[in-house]
Amino acid sequence: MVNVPILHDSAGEVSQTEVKDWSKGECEPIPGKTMHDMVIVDRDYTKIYDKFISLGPNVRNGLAAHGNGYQCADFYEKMLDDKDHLQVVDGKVYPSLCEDEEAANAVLYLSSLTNGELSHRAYQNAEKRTGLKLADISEGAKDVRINYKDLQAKIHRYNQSPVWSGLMNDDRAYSAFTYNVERLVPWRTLTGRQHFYLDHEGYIKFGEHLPTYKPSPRPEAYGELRKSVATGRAKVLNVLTPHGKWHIHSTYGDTLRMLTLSRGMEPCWLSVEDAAELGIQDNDWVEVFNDNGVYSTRACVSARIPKGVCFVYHAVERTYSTPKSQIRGGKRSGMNNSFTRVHLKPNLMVGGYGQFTYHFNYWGPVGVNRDTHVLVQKMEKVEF
Amino acid sequence: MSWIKDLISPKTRKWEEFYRNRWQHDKVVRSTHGVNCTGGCSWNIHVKDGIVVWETQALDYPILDKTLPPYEPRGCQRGISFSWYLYSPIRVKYPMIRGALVDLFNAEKAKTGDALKAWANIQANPEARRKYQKARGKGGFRRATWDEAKEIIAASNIYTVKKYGSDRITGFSPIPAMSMLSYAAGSRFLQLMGGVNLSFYDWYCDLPNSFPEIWGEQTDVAESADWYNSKFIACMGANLGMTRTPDVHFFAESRHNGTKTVVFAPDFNMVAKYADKWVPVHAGQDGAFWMAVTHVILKEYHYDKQTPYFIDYTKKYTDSPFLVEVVEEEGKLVPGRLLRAGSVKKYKDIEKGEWKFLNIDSKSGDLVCPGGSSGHRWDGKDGNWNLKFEDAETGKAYDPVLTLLENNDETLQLEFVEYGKNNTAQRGVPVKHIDTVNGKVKVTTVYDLIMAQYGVDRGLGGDYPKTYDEKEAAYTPAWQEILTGIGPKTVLQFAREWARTAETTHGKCSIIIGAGINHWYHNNLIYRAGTMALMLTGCIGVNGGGMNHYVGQEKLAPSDSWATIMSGKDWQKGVRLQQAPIWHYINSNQWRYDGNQADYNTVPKNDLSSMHSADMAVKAVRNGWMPFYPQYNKRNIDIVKDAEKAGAKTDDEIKDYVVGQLKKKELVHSVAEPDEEVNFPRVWYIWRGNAIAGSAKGHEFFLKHYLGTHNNSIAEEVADQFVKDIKVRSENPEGKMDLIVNLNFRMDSSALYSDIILPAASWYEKTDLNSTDMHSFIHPLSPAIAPVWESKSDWVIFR
Repeated sequence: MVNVPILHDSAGEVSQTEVKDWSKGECEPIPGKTMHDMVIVDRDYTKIYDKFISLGPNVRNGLAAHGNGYQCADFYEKMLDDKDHLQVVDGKVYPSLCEDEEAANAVLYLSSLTNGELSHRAYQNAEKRTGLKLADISEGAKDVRINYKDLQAKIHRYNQSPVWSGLMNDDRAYSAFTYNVERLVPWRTLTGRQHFYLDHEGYIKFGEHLPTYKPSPRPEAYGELRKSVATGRAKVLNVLTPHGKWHIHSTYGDTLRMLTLSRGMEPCWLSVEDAAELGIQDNDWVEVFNDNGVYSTRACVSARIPKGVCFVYHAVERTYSTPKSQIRGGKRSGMNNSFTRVHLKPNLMVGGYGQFTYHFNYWGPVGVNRDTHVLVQKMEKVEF
Repeated sequence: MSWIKDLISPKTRKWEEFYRNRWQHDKVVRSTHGVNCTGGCSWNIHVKDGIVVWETQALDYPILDKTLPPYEPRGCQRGISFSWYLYSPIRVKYPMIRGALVDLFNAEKAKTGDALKAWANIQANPEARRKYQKARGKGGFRRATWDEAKEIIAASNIYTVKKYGSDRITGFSPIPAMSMLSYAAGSRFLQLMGGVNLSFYDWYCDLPNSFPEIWGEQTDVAESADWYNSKFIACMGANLGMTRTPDVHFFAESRHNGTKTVVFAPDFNMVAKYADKWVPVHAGQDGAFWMAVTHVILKEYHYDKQTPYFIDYTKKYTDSPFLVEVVEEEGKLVPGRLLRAGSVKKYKDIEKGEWKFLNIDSKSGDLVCPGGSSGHRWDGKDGNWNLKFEDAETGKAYDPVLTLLENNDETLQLEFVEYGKNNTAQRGVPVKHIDTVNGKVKVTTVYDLIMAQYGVDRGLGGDYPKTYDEKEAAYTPAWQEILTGIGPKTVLQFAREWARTAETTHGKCSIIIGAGINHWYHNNLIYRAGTMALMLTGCIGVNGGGMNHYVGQEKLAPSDSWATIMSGKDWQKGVRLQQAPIWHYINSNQWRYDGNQADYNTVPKNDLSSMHSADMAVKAVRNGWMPFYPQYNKRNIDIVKDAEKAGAKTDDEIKDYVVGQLKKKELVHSVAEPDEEVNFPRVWYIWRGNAIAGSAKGHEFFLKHYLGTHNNSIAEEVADQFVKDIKVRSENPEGKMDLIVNLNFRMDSSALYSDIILPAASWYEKTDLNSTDMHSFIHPLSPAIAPVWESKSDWVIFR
C-alpha cells in the first residue's frame, strides 16, 4: 500500500477549499480528498530485475509531464521492431533497458523534446483542452528524432514542447512563459493567471496572502546560540554560505589544481572591522561555531566583506584541512553544515489547493540556512 | 639578445614537444560534467593509449538567432580539472566495506550459513549495532569484492522489507538533469522495490517557493542567451562571474547592446564589477528595496499615469481583476478569500463552481466568469482553459474592471500590517456589494488590494503615506532605507529607469536571481517582492524579461519520458517520492531542537500560525498536503493482510479499512511518532551527491541520530514544550540507520561515513544525458574510456 499525497497537475488541485483536519474530527477522512490517497500495488520481488531491464507496457497508455500528455503506443511498438534491443520476460517481449545506451535512447525516443511527432501530439492535446490554436508551433519539427549517437556527433537543440513554457521557433532564445503570454495558455494556478494574491487560508493566517516584507528571524529566537560560550574574544556574526569559486559544491575543491589556486581550504571571510575587533589577522585559524557544531578554518580578512556577516563558501569536505576543534574539547571539527539546523516555514506545507499542491521537488518547505548566526573566535592552538 | 636565439633554436625549443605530444591523442569523445553547476558545457575528452590525457571545450555550439552572441566559450576552471579525478589518489577503486561491519557479518554468516540470518542477528543485537555505527567516520574500510558488497546490501534490503516494509529503504541522489540516467538507475531500482526517493531541489534550498506560488511552476527561466535581449538587468543573490562562469559573458555583452545592469549584493562581488551600478544592500534585505520600488512604480506608472502597456498586461495576465471578499475579523475589516463563481446566483449550478472565480465586465457592469481557472482545467469540459477575455460559462466577450475606484458602492477602511516594524494601518479600499446565495458580500479587486497594501494614496482616506519621505509608512523609499541601508534616491532612480525601460521596450527588464536570496527563511517573500515589479511592468513572458532564477541544474528537459522510466511507472502505479526537508527535519530529530517557529517567524496570532513546525508537518501528511515515508507504525504489507483478514476484497475496501484504523488510532502515521523504533528509516542509498556532509543541513544531527557516531552538537532539546500532535519520547534515539550505501568515484565526506562504498564510473566513463536551464541543448556523457579499476556505471550497479 503506497500512500500518495494530493498531487499538482491532477484533479487533486481542486480538492480542499478549506483547512480541515479529519484527525480532529473537523471533517470525514476521504482518501484523495480530505486526506492522502492510497494505492494498492502488487509487487513481485522476484521480478524486480526483469522489470528494471525492460521498458514496461504502461508506456502504451501515453506519457505526460506538467499536465501535458501525448499518446506514444505506436512508438513503443516500433521499439519492439528493433530486434537487437529486446528483452523477453515470461515469454513477452519488451524494449530493452539493460544497457545504459538503451536507456538513453528510450528516453530520447519517447520524449516530446527529442521526438518532434510527440511534441506535435502534445500540442494537439493542449489545443483540445484550451480551445486555442497551438499545434502550428510544432508543425515544422514533426520529423525531428534525436538519438544518443546524434548527441555525441554534434550539439542538438531540443524541440519546444508544451512541457516547457518558452517559444523557440526560428532560433529564438528561450524565455519562460512566452507560450502563456503569446498563446493565451493559462498558468497552472488557481485562476490560471499569475498570482499577486494568495488566498489559501494558511497564507491568510500566516500573513502572506499579499506580497509583503518580513524581517529575518532574530538570532535569539532562532535558538542556535543558547549554550555556546566563547572562550576568547568572539563575536556573533550572520554566516552566509554562497557558492564558491574553487569548487562546485564539494566537488573539484579536493583536486590538486583547485587546492593550489585557492588557500587549500575554504576560509571564513571576515570584514576588516570585525577581524580587528577580534584580534584576527588574515590567515589565522579561527573557529566558527554555535550549538549545532563547529567549523575550524583559516580567516580571510577582506575589505570586500561588510561588517556583521562572515562568508564560508559551501561546500567543504572533511577530508582535508580539518583540524581538531578547541571549543568542543579536541574532537575533529566539522564542515559548513556543522553550524546549520533545519527550520521549516510552515505555510509552505499547505496543499490540495490550486498551485499549492504537492509535486516532487515542486512544493514544500525548503532547507533554508542563511539566517544562521555563529560565534567566530581565533584558535590558539591548531592540532590535526 | 640570447633569448631570441633561444626561441628559434630547435634544441632549446624542445619544450614545445609537450604541446605537440598532447595532440597525438588516439581519439576525442564528447562528454560533460554531472556536477550540478548548471553549466552543462560540452567538452571534448582526449584519450591516448586508453588514458584520458586532457579535456578541452567542445566549441561547436550552434548559433541561435543571428542577433545574439554565440554561446562560446563554455567551460570553466573547475570543469577543465575533472580528468584529475580519474587517476587520483582519492578515486574509489574497489568496493569497500566498513571493517567493523564486515567482521560482524562474516562471523554471523559463519555461524548461521545464511546472509539474511546474519544480517538479522546483527540488527537484533544492540551491542553489535553500536559497534559498527560508532566506527562510522573513523576509517577502517576494507577492500571487498562486488559479490561480498552486494550480498550484504541484498540481505539488508530483504530483511528491511520483511521486518518493517520497503518504505524504510530510502535513496538520495540530487539533480537528475546533470546525469539523468544515473539518477534514474537508483530511482528505478528503489521504486520497483517499493523504496523511497528523497527530493533534492527543495532540500538544497534551490526551489524558489515563489514560483509555485505565483505561476504554479517549479521553475522556468530564460536561457542565458536571452539576457542579451534584456534592456535592464537587476542581478541579486547571484554571483555570475563566480558561479555562472560560462554564461556571464552574455551579461557583459548585453552592456554593448545598451543594457543597463544593476547588481545588488552586500559584498563587492565578481559580477558587481561588470555592472553599471552596485547597490550594497544589507544582507537579506533585498525584499524591502523591491517593495519600495513597486510602491513607486504603482504610484507613478499605474496611478499618476496609467501606462497603457502595464495596465493591459496586468489585466490580461494577472489575477488583479479578480474579486476578493472583504471580511470582518475581530472587529477589523481585512481581505479574505477570492469570491467563488458558484456562490452567486448566475453561476450557482456550474460544475466546480467553487474553483471558478469572478471579474466584473467594464461595459455591462455584470459579473463574468473568466475561463482558465483550475475549475475549468478539471471540470471535464474541453476548450475553456485559456486566457481569452471570454466568459467561459456564457461564451460572451468581456473587458475586466481592474479597479473599483470609479465605480463602487462604498469605501471601506481595511487593516494592513507592515511586519518590519509591526505597524498596522487602516487604508481606504473601494468596495462593491454583491448578492450571493449566502447573502450580500462586500468585494474589492486584487488590484485595489495591491494598491492599498503598497500604500498608494488614491484619495480613499486612511493611513496612506503622503510622500516618499515617510519612514514609518509602508512601503516608501524612506521606509526601506532603515532596512536596506540604501538611500531613497537610489530607489527612485531605479524604479523610474525600470518602468521607463519596460514601457519603451514592452517588458524587456529582467531579474537574475540566485541562492544569495533563495537561501533565506523568507525567500518566497523576497522573490515575490521582486516579481511584483516584473509583473506590474509586463516583464514576464517576454524575451529579455523574466524572473531568471538559477540555483541548481533543475531543468530536466525530456522529463516526460524520463519521469516514467525513473519511477518504474512503465510497470506499476504508486511511487514513493518524499519531500526531503520534512523527512530530515523529522527523522534526523532536528525538530526536537527547534523552538516554536511563531517565535522567530513573523506571523499574526491564530490557531494555525502558532503551531510548531513538527505538528504542522504531521497535519500536512494527514491532510495529504505532503508525503511521508515510512508510512505507518506497521509494515504496509501487514496492513493489507489485516484488511483482507477483516474481509476487504477490493482496493477500495482495503482503503476503507485503513481509514477506519486511522480514525480509531489503531494505526498511526510514522511522522507522528518518529522516535518509535518501528518508524526508523533503515537503509539509505546515496549516489551522485554528498548527502551526509555537503548537502546535510544539520550535519551534526545526521551524525548523531542517523549514524550514531561522534558529533559536535551541544544543542538543547526544546520542542517538547511546544508540540501537541507529534509524540516526544523521553529517550532521544541515536543511530537509526542500519546501513548506508554510497556509490562514488571520489572518497568524499559521505563516502567516509558510509558502511559500503561502491566504485562508480566517472563522467568520462559512462553513457548518460545532461540538460540545464542555462541553454536549450541536450548533451551526452560518454564513456571516453572504460570504467577504471573495478568501477561501473550507476545504471549497471543498480541493475
